Amino acid sequence: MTTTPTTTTSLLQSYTLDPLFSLPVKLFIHTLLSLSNFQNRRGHYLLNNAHVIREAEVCGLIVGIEQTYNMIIYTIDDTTGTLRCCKWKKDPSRNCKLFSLGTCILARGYIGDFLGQRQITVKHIDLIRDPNREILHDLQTVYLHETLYKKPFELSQDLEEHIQDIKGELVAARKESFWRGVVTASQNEIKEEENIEITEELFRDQLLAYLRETHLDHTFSYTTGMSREELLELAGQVYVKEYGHDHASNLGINAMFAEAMTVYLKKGLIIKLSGEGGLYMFVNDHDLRQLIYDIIHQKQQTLSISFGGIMQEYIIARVRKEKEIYMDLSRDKIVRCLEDMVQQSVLYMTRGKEYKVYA
Amino acid sequence: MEENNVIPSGELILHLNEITNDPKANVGRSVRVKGFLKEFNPATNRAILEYKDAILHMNTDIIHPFPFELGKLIECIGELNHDEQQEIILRPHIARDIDTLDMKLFEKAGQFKRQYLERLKSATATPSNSSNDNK
Repeated sequence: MTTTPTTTTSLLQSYTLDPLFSLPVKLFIHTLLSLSNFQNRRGHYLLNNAHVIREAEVCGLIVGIEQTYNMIIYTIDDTTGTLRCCKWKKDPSRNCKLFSLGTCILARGYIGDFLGQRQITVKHIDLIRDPNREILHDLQTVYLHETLYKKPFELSQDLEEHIQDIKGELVAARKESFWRGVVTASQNEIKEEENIEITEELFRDQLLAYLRETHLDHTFSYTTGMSREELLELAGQVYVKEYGHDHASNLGINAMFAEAMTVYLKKGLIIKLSGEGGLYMFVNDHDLRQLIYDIIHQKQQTLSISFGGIMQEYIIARVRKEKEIYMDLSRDKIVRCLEDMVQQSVLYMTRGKEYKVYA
Repeated sequence: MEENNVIPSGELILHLNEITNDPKANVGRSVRVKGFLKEFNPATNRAILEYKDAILHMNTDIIHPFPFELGKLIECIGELNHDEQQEIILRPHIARDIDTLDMKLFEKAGQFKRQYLERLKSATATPSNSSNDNK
């Protein structure tokens, strides 16, 4: 089946309404490996030139296991090929149970390419104990390929007639929910959409707001925000507008998200966890203040009453030494914490940049 | 798109005689086979799989321990090679117990899957289908 301009145009118009776009599609690994990227859109793949898909479901035996600090990679084999299935760990600091070699699993996840290799990023893994279940998956996959996957997606006539109106409503609703939800969470003033200027700072604020909403007490990586379509779109717009590129490449968008993490680190909003994997956490202000208080209080006990106070430089050095996660915490963050604690009368300043706790 | 060629896929084998009828043609292939464990010698790491009239010798040195009871239906993924006596031998790196598998269903479904894959391969090999090229 060759791609014609009409096929591509009709796909572009309505592929997101295709049920296969939103579901994990049962595929053989051989088919999954031969999918081509759709219109250079990240994570979008063309199946039989008739459907645009993002997710896949594969079933096979585990023939390889790799583990990094924050990820487990199962290589599975369904007799048509082998495929890497990458599963992010929920809590890298804890040991997690692994499936053993030879276990039959059903893996569902997002199709992607990494370093030239096709893989899926797993959303869900099911352990298959009954060997007949694997046969069922094979039969279902063949059946779906021969029937549903071959037929191009067609909108019903009703939808066709009103497609422009529906599009307009969906776009307006999406923009409204994006700006309202994320801007409010970031505590910026809600501005009229027409007055919002697309800048890198806006992108970073929106990304920060999203991460605070969803990962305030959990670890995250620089790619966490990339699961949000609106943030990807915003990053793409900034990349084109502010850096003068023709189009937003995957590499460029990656760099925008990674750079945002660097900025948050410098501002002391987040800390980078040690070890592999590039995981971050929000600084817990309450814990940090408690640590600062304990350091000053402890040092104060060893000094005579006439002594001025505990020097800021000493406090900064002690904070970084006391807890490994604060090893690279920005100096500005600690200083801001001290200033806040003075304002709240938890500490007082004796001389410039020297602090004491109230007895 | 290149296939993940670090670990080769075990090709579907519906019946052991597909290997034993033409051993030379199968040397070097990575296959997935099913059969009943007829014999196992832990001292020499040699086992024999049997299904209907065909038998296949195996070198189980990679899988240690080899925890399967005699008479059980097992599935193995591994490479076919010659042993010292130039007999075809399977060296499995993956093995599992599939004693509850319905073999009749497996053979029927396997035929179906094989026919589908052959149709797919011939469809992608047709010159007019240039849009199906992998990137």
